[in-house]
This record gives sequence, structure tokens and C-alpha cells, in this order.
Amino acid sequence: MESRLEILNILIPMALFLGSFFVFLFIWATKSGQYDDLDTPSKRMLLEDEVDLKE
Amino acid sequence: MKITIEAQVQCSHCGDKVVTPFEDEGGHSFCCQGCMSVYQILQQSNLQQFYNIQEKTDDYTRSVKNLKNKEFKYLDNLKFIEKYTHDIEGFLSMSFYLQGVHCLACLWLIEKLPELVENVMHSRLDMGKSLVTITLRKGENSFSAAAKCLNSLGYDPYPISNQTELKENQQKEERSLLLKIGIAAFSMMNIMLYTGSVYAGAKGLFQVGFGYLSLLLAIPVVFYSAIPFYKSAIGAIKNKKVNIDVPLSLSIIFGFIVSSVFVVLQKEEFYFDSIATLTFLILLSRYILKKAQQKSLNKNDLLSIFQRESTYRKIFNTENFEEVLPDQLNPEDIVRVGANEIIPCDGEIIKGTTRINLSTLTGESQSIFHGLKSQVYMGTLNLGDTVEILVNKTNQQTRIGQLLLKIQNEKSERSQYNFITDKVSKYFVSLVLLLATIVFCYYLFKTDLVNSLEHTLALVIVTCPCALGLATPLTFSRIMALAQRNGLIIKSEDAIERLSNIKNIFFDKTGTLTTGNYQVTEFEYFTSRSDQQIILLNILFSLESKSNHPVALSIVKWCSTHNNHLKNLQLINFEEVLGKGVKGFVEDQYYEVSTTDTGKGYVNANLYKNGEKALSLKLSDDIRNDSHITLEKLRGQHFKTFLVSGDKDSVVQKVGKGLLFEPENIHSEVPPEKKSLIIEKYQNSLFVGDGANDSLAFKKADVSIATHGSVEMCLRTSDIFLGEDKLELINYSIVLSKRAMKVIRINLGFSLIYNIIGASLAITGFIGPLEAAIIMPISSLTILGITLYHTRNGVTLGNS
Repeated sequence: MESRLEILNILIPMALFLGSFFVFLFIWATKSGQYDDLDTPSKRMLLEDEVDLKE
Repeated sequence: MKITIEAQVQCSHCGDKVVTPFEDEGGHSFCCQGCMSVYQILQQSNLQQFYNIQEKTDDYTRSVKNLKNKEFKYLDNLKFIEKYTHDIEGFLSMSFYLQGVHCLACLWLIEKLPELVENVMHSRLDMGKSLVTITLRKGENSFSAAAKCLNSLGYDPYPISNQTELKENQQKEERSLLLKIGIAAFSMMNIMLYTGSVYAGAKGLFQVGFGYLSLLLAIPVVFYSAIPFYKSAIGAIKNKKVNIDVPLSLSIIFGFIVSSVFVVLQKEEFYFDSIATLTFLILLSRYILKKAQQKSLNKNDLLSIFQRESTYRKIFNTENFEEVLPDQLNPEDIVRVGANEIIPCDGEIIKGTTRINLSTLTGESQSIFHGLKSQVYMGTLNLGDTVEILVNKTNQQTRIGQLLLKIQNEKSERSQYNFITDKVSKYFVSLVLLLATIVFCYYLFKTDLVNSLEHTLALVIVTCPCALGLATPLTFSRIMALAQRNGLIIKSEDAIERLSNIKNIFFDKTGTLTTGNYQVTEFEYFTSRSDQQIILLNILFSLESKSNHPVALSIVKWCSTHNNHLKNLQLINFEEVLGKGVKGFVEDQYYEVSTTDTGKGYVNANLYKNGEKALSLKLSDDIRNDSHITLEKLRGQHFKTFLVSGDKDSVVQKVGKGLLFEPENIHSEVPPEKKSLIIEKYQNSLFVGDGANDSLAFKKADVSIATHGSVEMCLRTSDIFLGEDKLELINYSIVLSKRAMKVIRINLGFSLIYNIIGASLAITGFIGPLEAAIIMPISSLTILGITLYHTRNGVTLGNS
């Protein structure tokens, strides 16, 4: 029983590490202002596509 | 007597119906010169795609009528650049608030600015805030060229100072709330992983290890994410009040401490997952509410509204004028103010005479003659000739500046309102505290400390006021979203609750119940030949087109709605007599239009041909079409209605009687400072207005609504504003507010039942952490379901 669960010794630190990695990414993204304007980028994306198609 | 109306022609730029056609060589028709020039700029710069993009959006471009062409020279002033720009690695950027941005095509066009203006490196638009940031290479200071280009495209740019701490604070606050939510979400999901394993039966070393891991993960939630709850709870306690955050903070802190103790004692009872879920959900619902509120139109920095339009200042010891912004003016300066410009300071006329519309200050609809040495006030509109003004007071010292200061400082003077959630929290907290003490003592006496703590903890966690904390902000944000979809903008959630208890409704007259501008209401020809009538109409049209006076504009509009084939005839010896009318020769015949203000709320305009009366018109500030029905509906619901106006008694009485106000409820000739005194006498008051003179009253009333087309100052000070030109939205807003409060009451009742059952189970010891972890989200989901069901689109609309 115990031996089969040994994998947890690796999985739990890994889960925590990956989790914190994404938390830091999130903190970085927020602080650099990527979530400040949630309306315009979604629209801007549509526009640039149309211009490309024409060119 | 009717003249046939031809098929409507649409403007090639904005799609509006064309009244007086302007045509270019290509045969395109436009409604005005502005639209035509925008169209030409787009064609020349190969930006015709604007119209393709615009077609795909439901929106359409606004007509650029009445747009003034400005030079923006002051933007290149070095001192100005220092104050208004950001310097980043050799690039200068300046932000502008842009009026007139509304759709995808605007976004496309504005970000194409580098192609239109040399030296512009970058142009970035934030649609939510209507802010455009323009970047230039340092040394090539041509912000004026960029601003001029935006202006000629039909947008009105206003530079924004870079020293706006307030804006930065707001941004910081929003970011930090987002971080708190993100971290709470991370902790919540990871804690669930470990506590889930414990519930599933992890034993021994795993149970202990998972306990410590959960404790570790809960630390950022309790010590970082939940900080807003503590702050608000401490604030409330300091003011000897109780709000929803008090029980929330208690549950979180008590739950965390006891759970930590239990982890150390290696017991199975810990509630870290419940604490994290609670924090996450409530923070999220508050974030959604915050996003639903209109923050761009807050009451900060009101004075800047009147400081945006540039003005011309006489350069010392010369006869030349330079373009400056009003906040750069000093007493003893001399400024030149042209027709249709806003007066930038308080001062004295030293050259010229004019007529000034004082409605910003007094609400009076008619303009008043101002001669030499007359005192003029900042924010009022010069309708007549160009005058020179000796500045004696500027900015905050001006009359309007003082009024605005009063508005900004009187934030908390409103009657204290007892909000339903606060009321309930008060009883709730006392009850839970009492119960918790009893349970704790009872089990301590009967068993041991650990056992009694277990029971108390279960009780505190289970009775945590989820419905109040979660459902109330969600209900408010749903209602705000619904309102917005129907053209009604509600700026704060407490306005909804205040509105649901309204009993007395006060209306402003000019611009609120009446249209706010003069319109032709009656006309009579003194000839019966229809061909003669058309000629007269055409002559009237040609004469009045030359004048900028508001009455002339209304007459032109009236003429062209009668016949849209009118041409501008050639006029000889045209002359405008200020405040009297216009005259001139057409084909050797002498014509004269004399306008006389009767002082009784209407204006007479007569067209004389060679001294003989040929056509007579009557113009009045007419009652809006929907005023009657709106008032009738409101009175039908037993609201008391009042009319409060700054206009002349005779005019107000006439409108008041026409709209069936009780004679004792009609107040006329009320200056802005006094309007609030009338309202103060009544409780549960709603004020509906549109002018700057209503702003102080807005602060005193329990709720204020600014109608469509209100001045910006009014939009900012009001709680609610009508985004569409429909007075009936007032009824709709009351219906919405009542519905919101109904949903909140249903949720309260439901959670009360839930809590009673939960509490009794916790007290008797049937509920442990596992049950709590299941019950809590279920109760939250149920309440969420109730909220969404009752605020869905169809239901609320059906009632309006």
C-alpha cells in the first residue's frame, strides 16, 4: 500500500510548484496591466484580421 | 396647408436623414459640412474600409454636426507638454479623453492615426474609458496635429493631465482585487485536493501532511485575499455599525485559528476549504458588481469639464491672441470669447456686447443681453457676438467652481440610509454570537474544550451569511446589466435600494419635461397660394440659415422638415440685428424677419415682405411627447410629483398646469442653491433633472436621475442616467429597483431557512467539516439560481 503511494512524494511538490508558477505568471500579467482593459483587445483582434485579408 | 414631404435622403457618412443637403462632386449627399469633410479625408487617405467595418456592427456613426474646428496650438506649448505627457525612453505620450467613440469602426480609424498624421508613432484606444494614448518621438512635438486630425474626423479630444493620482489609485485598486481573487482561487482548488483526500479516508502520515499543506495554502487567503473584508468590518465597527463583512471576517478568522489548532492536534476537523471557497466567491461577486458600475462618470474633478475647451488670451502689450486652456488663465488677463463658445472665467465685458445663455447656472431657457461692464460667469454660453472679457476670477474661485466644490465636499450629507443587508447583518451577528457562546459553554460544561470548539466552529461556518455576501452584489450587478441593455445607466448599488423606497418625485422643467429648445409650434401664412407659400418658406430658410442664433436654427430645421428641396437663395445687403432678427434683399424685394421674445415662454417670428406681414411663426419650448404619460403613470402608482424650476414664474406655471401638477407643488424662479432646500423638506425623494443648476439638488435628494442630453456635470453627479431619450425609463428604473429588492428578500428568506436548519444540525453535532463543505456550495448555488431566474431579461421587461 505505502509503496504504491510513493509517487505522491513527487506529484505533490510538482503540483505545488506548477501551481505557484502559474500564480506568479498571473501576478506578473496583472501587474503589467494586461487585465486593465478587457473590452478593446477582443475587438481589436477582429479588425486586424480583416486588414490582413485585404492585403 | 401641408407641403409634400419628399423621400428621405441619407447622409453618406453618418446615415442620418439629410435635411439641408451638402453635396460633393461625386454626387454623395451629406447632412452637414462636418460629415462631408470626414468622408473626404477617409477617401483621400484610402481608409474607405471604415464604412465596411461599420456596416458589420449594429452601430452607426454619429453625425459630426456642430463640431467646432479648433487649432489645439496650446498642445505644443512646452510647459503644457511637461504637465500633460509621459516620457518613456525617447517617446512622448499624451492621453486624450475622446468624445464620440462608440463602435468598432471608430476603434479601427483612431488606431490608424499614424497613417494620417506624420510623426505619430502609435495610437492606442481604450474603448471602455474612451481614452486614446498617442505616442510621438521626442523632439517632434506635434500633438496639435494629431488632435486636429482627430477633431476633423469627428471626435472631440480633451487632453488629460498626467498627474491624475486618482486614476492611478483606481487602477491599483482594481488590479489588487483581481490578484486577491486569483490567489484565493488557486488556494481554494489546491486545498480541495488535499481535504478531499482526507474526507475520502487518507489516514496516518497523509492525513497529518495534508492538514499542514491545507493550512499552508490557506495562509495567503486569510492574510491577503480576505483583507478587504477586515478593512470594511473594522471601518463599520469604528462607526458603531455592523455590516455584512463583520460576520464574514469573524467566520474566516475564527475558522482559520481553530482549524489550525486542530491540524496541530492532528484532528480531522478543519474548514480551510470552506474558508477559501467563501472568500473566493464573495470577492468574485464584488468584482463583477464593480465592473457593472460606471466608473468613468464619477464625480471627481468636475471642474475640468469646463476647462477643456481652449480659449484665446491676449498676449501682454500686443494686439495678438494665443490659444490657452482655461486653467492657465490668471486674473487681469484679457480673453476673447466668440459666438457659441463657453465663457472660461468669471469676469467683466470690456469690449462688445452679446447675449448669454445662463442655463448652466440658472436653468433659464432664454438668453440674456450683456452690455459693456456686465459681469459674466464661467460655464455659461456666449450666443451673440465676440466679446473681450477682463478676467477677475478663475477656476475654483469662480461661481461655478464654488458650486462644484460644494458638490464634491458634501458627499456624506445625505440622510443616513438603513440598507437592508446592514439591518439584517445587525440581528444576524448578535444572534450567531449569542448562539455560539451558548453552544460553546454548553459543550465545554458537558464534554471538553476540543469538543466544544468543534461544535462552535461547525456552527459559525455553517451560518456564514452567504446569501447576503454573495447574492446581494450579484443581484445588483444583474439589475444594472439589465438596465443598461434597456438604455438606463445605474451607477451604484445603493441607488437601487434607495429608489425602491421613493415617494416624492421632483422634476426640473427646462430640458427635462420640456424639450429644452425652441421649436415652431404654430404657423400662419398670409397668402393662400401654395406656390407663393413655398417661395416664402425658401426665403425664410435662406435668411435664417445665415444666423447662428438658436431661434434661427430651429426655424431652419422647421423649414427643411416641411420641404427638403429648399435652396440657399442669393441675398443682397444681408444684415443680422442681434436679438431682433435678420433682413436682406432677395431678387429686389426687401424681406425682414423680426423675432420678439414675449417673455411668456414663447417667441414670435414674423416674415415681412416689403413691410407687409407674410408669414408668422410661434416658437416655444414645448412639453415633451412622453411627459404626460410618464407623469400619469407615476401618479397612478401614488407617487407625489413636484415641479422645481429656475425659470420665470409665468412660464413654469403654464407648463406646470399643462402637466397637471398640483398648484402648491409648483416652484418657480428657484436658484440652484435653493433647489436643494426644497428637496430637503421631503424624505424618500427622487430628483429628475438635466442642468448644472440641478447638481446640488442631486446631492440632496435620495436618488437623482439625469435625463438624456444632460450636461456632463449632471451625468457625473447623478446616481442614474437615461441613456436614451425616453422619460418612461424613469418608470422602468423604479420597476427594476423594486424587483431587485424582491429578489434580495427572497434570497434572505431562503438563507434564513437554510441557516436555521444548518445551525440546529451543527448545534446537535450532526454536521462536521465534510457536510459543511457540501452544504455551503449547494446553498450558494441555489441562491445563485434564484437570482439568475428572477433577473432574467424577459421577466423584468414584461413588467415595464
